[in-house]
Amino acid sequence: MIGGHLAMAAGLALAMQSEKQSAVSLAFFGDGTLGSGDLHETMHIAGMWGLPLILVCENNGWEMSTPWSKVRKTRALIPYAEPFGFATRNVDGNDALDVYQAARWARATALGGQPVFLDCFTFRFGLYSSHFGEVRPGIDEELQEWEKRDPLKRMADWLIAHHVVSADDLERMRQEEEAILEKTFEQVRAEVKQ
Amino acid sequence: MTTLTYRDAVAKALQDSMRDEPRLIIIGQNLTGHALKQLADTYGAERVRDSSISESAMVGMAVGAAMKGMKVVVMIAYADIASVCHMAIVQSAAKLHYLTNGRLNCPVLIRLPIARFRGHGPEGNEIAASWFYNVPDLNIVMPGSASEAYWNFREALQRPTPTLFFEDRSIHSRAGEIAANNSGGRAQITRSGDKLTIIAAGRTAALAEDAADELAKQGNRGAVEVVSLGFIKPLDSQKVFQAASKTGRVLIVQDEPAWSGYAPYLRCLLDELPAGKLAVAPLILAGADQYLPFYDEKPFLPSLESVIAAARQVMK
Repeated sequence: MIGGHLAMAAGLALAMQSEKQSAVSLAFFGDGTLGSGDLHETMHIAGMWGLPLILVCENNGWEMSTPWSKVRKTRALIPYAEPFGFATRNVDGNDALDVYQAARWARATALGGQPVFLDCFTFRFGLYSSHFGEVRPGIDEELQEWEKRDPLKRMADWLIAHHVVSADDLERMRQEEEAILEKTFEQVRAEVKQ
Repeated sequence: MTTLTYRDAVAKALQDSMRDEPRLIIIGQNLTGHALKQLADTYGAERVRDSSISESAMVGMAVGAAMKGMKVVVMIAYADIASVCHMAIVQSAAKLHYLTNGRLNCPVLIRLPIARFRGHGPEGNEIAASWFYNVPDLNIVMPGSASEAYWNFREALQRPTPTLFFEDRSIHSRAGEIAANNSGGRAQITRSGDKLTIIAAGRTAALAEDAADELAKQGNRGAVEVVSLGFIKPLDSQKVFQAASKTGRVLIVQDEPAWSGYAPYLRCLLDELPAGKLAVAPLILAGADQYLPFYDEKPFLPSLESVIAAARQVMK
């Protein structure tokens, strides 16, 4: 269950701390999970016990088709995490390098005895789930703005600008990956048919 | 052989488990300063942990620790509070083994003491066992004696799926001999008889024993066989069938109302006996179909008198 998994992540951290392992436990969740009691209970205990736990919120500002402003007071989740004793950081969730740096900081902090909350701002382009098919009317401007901050495009631009790869390299790699995916899909489909 | 009170038997099971299982930890309230001070002093703050009153997270965290190979005892204040952590019990704990295709075990024991006859009132005196009865992979224990309290606790921590441990506070002072060995969670025949079989668990198993003894004094010596289930899930159906067939007359006693729980389940199970094995249909003596008031729980639950009366009725 969403929310329940956070307590389980804290339990992993509990095991690591009890057995003095040099390890951290990390869990992802969306900003909608603020509604789950288990998030608060988990932060409550993890904060007091100083567990090596990193909570990563993929904060895209939407609970299915409901915007954040209808369900909570602030876009950021940090004000909800800080009082429990978590070290917190606001992260550009669409910048792979910012996320990377934040993760390194988070690991060091958590190993040092304080759990961490990474509030990663991002955006959701598509549906929450094909299962529900919910709609979000009137978000065309937002979509356009966030398209400019597409994380994959930004990473690609950075790699090319820093001469790590060329645009052709990236296109070739993309096609190779797609071919692998297609082949695997067909293999599995064939197996399932048997 | 050692004789202990039911209360001391549970305490000893916990102590011996902490000694024998180096990866066992306990989570609860008021442990290090009070309830388990000795264990905390012996094994340290890593293994005996005071948490806030956050049952859902306590159970969820126990599951997470179990995922890393630890065993956990979670101490919940009383059985009624099981509903507060229902999600963690069912979705996180009970399903772990199945969801991971058997690769991860969940040796988590959740202590849920039944606050019987303590004036806790309706939001505190429930048993809750039957609310979880239909959950697959969940072990449910209602020890009826000191020996069951000790061995069922130890057995539970060896199982790959979690256990709800419903000790009953009202029989905490009841003393008994602790069996020499673990019977692996099998039901116990605590009284031998040839005219009537009473099947029960927990407090009602103790009542059944007292009823058998009282009936013996009143001229029915050797009449009543008592099956104390211990583990109400999974249930020792083999012993149930044996004991039922032996006498041909069955009385099932449970404290919870009879809409669900081991009593209606057993009556269904006994339908599988060949026709004629039982002289009469099994009788269920259960708690009243209502909440239990603060001022007096006794009128709404099985008692020594009502068990004896029901026993006489089935033996007629």
